[in-house]
Amino acid sequence: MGFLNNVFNTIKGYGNEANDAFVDTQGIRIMEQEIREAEAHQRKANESLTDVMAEQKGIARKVNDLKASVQEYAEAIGKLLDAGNETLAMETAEKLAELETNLDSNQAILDSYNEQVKELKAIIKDSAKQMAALRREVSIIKSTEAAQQASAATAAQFSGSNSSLRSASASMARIKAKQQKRKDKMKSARELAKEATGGDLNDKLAAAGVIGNQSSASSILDRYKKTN
Amino acid sequence: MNNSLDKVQAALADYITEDGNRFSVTETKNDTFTMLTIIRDDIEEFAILATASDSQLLFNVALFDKSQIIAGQSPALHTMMLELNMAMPLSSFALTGANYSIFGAMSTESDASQIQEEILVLSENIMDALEVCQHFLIKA
Repeated sequence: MGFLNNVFNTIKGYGNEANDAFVDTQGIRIMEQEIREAEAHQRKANESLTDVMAEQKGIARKVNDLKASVQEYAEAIGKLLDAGNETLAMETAEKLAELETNLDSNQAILDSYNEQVKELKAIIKDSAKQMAALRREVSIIKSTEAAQQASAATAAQFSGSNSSLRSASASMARIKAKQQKRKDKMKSARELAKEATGGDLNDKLAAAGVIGNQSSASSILDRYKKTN
Repeated sequence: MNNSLDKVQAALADYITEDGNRFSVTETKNDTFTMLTIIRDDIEEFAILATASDSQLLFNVALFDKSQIIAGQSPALHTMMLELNMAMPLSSFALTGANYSIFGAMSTESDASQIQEEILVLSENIMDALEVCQHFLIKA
């Protein structure tokens, strides 16, 4: 089952039943059990891996020894034949046949150990991934649960035992009025400050054309034009 | 877990927004959970509730409940919420039990300035979210 599917099934609260637990605690217990199982699985795989790798090393050594002997006997046969010693060459060939059979069977064991090591490593990697995913799921569910509990606590705080919140549109209207009042207050404060510094009167005189606006390049130029 | 909420408290302690708003923070603890109630001084009626898990901080603001929706308007409201989720900066709509909310989630590794930004944007989104939802709500 996918991650969100699990979360959906574990988190209640979609039903709006006041007495329902917010989160299906059984669901979390199951997931925590799955984490423990995955951990046990991984531990077992780790132990097996250690054993198999020890065996693998022993067999690999044996295979290498056998390969060296096979090489050695094969070279000896060549030399004996060159020297015309066919009887000893035959005897050596019999020994070589025995060694080759032995090498083949040990090589087969080594191949199977190599395969097992690969499989065990894959199992360990998969369990680690599975554990990380489950842990993430439990953590998300728990944080969602905390958020649900927090909302419920506040809802109760606002309206007693009734879980419904106060009217949103009424609250919004009140807040807007309050924010507007605050803005107006700030505007008045700014205007008062301007009056105190005489800025307001200057603005009015400038608007009436009694005093000039602030100096600008064109007003300076105009002044010069008038005097010349 | 509480360390993360301590971090939130510390981030907001002396924080004043550009518009001069402040946030007051109250901690509530009980056997099962700890939460912070964060209130922006000009939007007192919509508290931001902060909770934390090992990996994430959740900031949630309950807006209204199902009983306030005009009969038959829920599907249209849900569609609008889904359509707007992507456009709403740093926050998303959510339904918890019967309560509709907007929330923001962030890593417990977040620093003070990121926490301040998250809470400021979430608080800015409250009135915008209510404004757009009010067409579907019973008038007071």
